[in-house]
Amino acid sequence: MKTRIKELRARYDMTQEELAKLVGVRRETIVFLEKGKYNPSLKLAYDISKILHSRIEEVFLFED
Amino acid sequence: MKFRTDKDIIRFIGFTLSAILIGIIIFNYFQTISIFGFILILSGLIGFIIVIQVASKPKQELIEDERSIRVREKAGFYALLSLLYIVGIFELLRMLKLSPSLTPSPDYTGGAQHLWFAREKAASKAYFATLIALLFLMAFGNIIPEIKNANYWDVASFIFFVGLLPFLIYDWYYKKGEYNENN
Repeated sequence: MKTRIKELRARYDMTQEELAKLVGVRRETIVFLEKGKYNPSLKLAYDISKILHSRIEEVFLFED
Repeated sequence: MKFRTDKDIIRFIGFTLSAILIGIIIFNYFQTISIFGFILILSGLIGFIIVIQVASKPKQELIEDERSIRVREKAGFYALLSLLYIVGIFELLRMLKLSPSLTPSPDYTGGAQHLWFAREKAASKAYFATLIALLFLMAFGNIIPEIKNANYWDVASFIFFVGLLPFLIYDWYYKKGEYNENN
């Protein structure tokens, strides 16, 4: 799974730590998400997408 | 490396150092219960290492989130599997009359074996439940005649180390990852 979290974070001038605080997770969880090494729960994916003003499928890109 | 020095950290350092000190006193001056002294020293040392590790991380990195819970459950699951494999090997050795002293009775592993194929969450809890059940039996077991003479200390230390060591290793393994410092 690929994500556009880093790109969207940069657009809103947001650090990993700020995003982590807003969604209530550790910064390392955001690091793993950005690297595509962790599949988030639907709730976390929804919360991140909401904060980044995007839809889930725009933030998280699932490949077949 | 920077260490946090807030109230909780100082309190836990105090606890661990007290445990080590009391352990040393018991170990040296109370020969009949010297095993308790050894356990206190060992748990104090492990606690001290954990506190130092926790103190080196910012508070934000210590909150429980869905990933840390998942990592812990996964580590618990594999710790239980490791425990069952190792207990199985010792059981086999006992059957072959190679190692009678360290072998735990199958009575208390039976419950956990039913969870062999259970999901990680259940398996993780099963490992700790086994430990707690054993500690309970150690504390109150002498009122039940059938298990009065069982050597729980052998069994407890066996389960504790064989199960906890893989748990700590797996927990570290699943947590580790490279940090991207360029926000």
